[in-house]
Amino acid sequence: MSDAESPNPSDPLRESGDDSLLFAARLHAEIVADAERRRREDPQLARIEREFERAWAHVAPPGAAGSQEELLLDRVDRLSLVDVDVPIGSKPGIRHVKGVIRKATYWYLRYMSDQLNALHNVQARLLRRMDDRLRRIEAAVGLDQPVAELVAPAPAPSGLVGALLAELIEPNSLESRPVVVGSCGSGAAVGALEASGHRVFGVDADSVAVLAGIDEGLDLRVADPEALISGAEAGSIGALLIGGELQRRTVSGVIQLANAATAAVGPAGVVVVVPESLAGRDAVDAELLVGRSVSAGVWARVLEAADASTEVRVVDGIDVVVARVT
Amino acid sequence: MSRRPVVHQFTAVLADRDALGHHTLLVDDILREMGVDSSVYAAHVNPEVRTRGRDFRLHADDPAPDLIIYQASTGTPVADYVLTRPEPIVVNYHNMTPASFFDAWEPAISAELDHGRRQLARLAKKASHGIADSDYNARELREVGYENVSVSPVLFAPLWLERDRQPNRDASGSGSTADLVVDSVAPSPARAVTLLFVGRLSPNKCQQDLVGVLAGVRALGVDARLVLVGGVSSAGFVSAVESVALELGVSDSLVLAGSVSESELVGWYESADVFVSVSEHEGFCVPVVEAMGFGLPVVAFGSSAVAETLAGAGVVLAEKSVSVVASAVVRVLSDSVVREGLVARGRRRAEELGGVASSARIREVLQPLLNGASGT
Repeated sequence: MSDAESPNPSDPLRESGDDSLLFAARLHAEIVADAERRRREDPQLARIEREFERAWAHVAPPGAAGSQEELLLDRVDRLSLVDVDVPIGSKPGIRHVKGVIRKATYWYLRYMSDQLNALHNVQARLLRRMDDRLRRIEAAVGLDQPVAELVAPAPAPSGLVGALLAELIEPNSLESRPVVVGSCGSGAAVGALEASGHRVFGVDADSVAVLAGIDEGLDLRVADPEALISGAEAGSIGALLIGGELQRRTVSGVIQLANAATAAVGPAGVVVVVPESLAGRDAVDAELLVGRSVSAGVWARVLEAADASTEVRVVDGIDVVVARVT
Repeated sequence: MSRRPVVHQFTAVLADRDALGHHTLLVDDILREMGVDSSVYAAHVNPEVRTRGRDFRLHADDPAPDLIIYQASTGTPVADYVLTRPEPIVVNYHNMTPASFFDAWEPAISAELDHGRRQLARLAKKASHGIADSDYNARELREVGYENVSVSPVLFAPLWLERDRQPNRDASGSGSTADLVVDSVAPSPARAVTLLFVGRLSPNKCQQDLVGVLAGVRALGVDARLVLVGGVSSAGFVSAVESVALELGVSDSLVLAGSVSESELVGWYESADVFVSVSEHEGFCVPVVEAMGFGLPVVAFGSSAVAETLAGAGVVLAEKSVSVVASAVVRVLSDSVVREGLVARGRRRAEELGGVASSARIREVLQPLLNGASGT
């Protein structure tokens, strides 16, 4: 194609201006006008535009090429034996045939829809039955995870408990050691401790529960809190708050955790435990969680056995164990 | 003696054939030049760059950094991990394709992209700073809550400058290894004009419209072929593009080059006559800059950040009907004055975006963040 075919001899580039945006705008206007002229004068170009739209609508999945409803109707039109738009009322015989085909098509599509609905219903029912069976089997063999899913989660330590721990920490006693909140949930206790000026972070195994606190800018980390406490170097944690799912364990687990906690905070360190209210459990939770969680009194005795002096305080109606490592 | 600041970059995938991977590695290089102890972590590290990155799952065991830079481009567990870190976080945003483009083609990718945008919004609460490739991307960051946002173009190796440095090139610029590679892969029919687009075969890039443009250009009397270079995001989409080409009778003139090596890519740029983009969503569009660098005139639909990247150095169209885009292509091919003007402007623009200015800009953005993180 030669330069002589250029649609506009007064091209902006032939002017000396160096304003790229102005040049681009003028060139665009010329191209659009040229396209409009070609579209009018060249039936082949207009045909290709139509063919392209039709071809794309034909191969693209519903919803990918514009309005889904229009495309679906377009598809039905292409596949149907009878053109719904062609008026044939003046020809009684054909009208009768068209009416029969329309009713037969409606009946067939309705039949197919009902069959599909019935199939989906059966699938859903079978899935539910299979899920129930698996859940019963898992409960019967005592797997922990299904039980955890069946019971209400233990509440994370509240802001009031966080404030209590903040009061108990001697000023300047922590040096650079952090305060750790185990099973922190959305971080209410972490927020209270942070507001008191302490360097604190929370740990929780539930990556979803911590998101709200992270959004508020709290230092909440996703990890197994028990592993963090057990793996901590002796005396590396300034003070420790145990609550939520972390306190929900068997007696042997409680003893192990108490020993690890007192070691992690070291001499003169503070451990606060917020045991779940056993009396507050409903009958189903009580059965499912049998043997898990111990009362404040049991926690106190176990912590004393781990070389701590303890007292039980009531915070917001809940018995809270305060232990100072001797 | 003061300690060197430590910066850890996080990204979903570290690969050498993608713009984000290049950018991440170039930022890594620049940080090292700035005296930073820099490392890269990713969910997937491709084998060819395995010495440059570590699995992010190992990060918790490594010494903590002073600053984290998260390269955000999609939904990934990496972002969830970054959210749990206590260190200051900088989000370098490269845009995420709106999920709606993938709804009908690849629902799994669609869900991933939706997730990515939710993660981006959550990171806004924790990130101290956002870096965007373009003003377009910066606007999106501010819309989801980022307060401190700087614009710094994506970094990439200017292939056209590398090409110019190759030995044994004649004055016309031909005779490179890349020419030989492309000629052997897909020789151009005699006198056929080559329309080129580089980018993944993906619904948001709308390669099907380019097939329509190819048919339109041929209807206007130009013997043309269309070359699509890039990997595949959706196999169904590629199949549909091929079907449209078949229905329009231009399948013989369509070349799907796939994901290519750097030398092959150079060859395609050098053998093309015009770069055409009708993409509906680009956060920056590196290939447009590369095309300008190689002296190709660019015709593009002015969606998202494309017009900003071109800045008047290409033909930016407000609509992308077959007749308008085909007319633009024919005009550029047939009018040597327009073509030479676009090429000259394009080279200048490519120099601005692909040269030292972009490296200087990212240094300028990073320096105060490093000072703040290391407390100096």
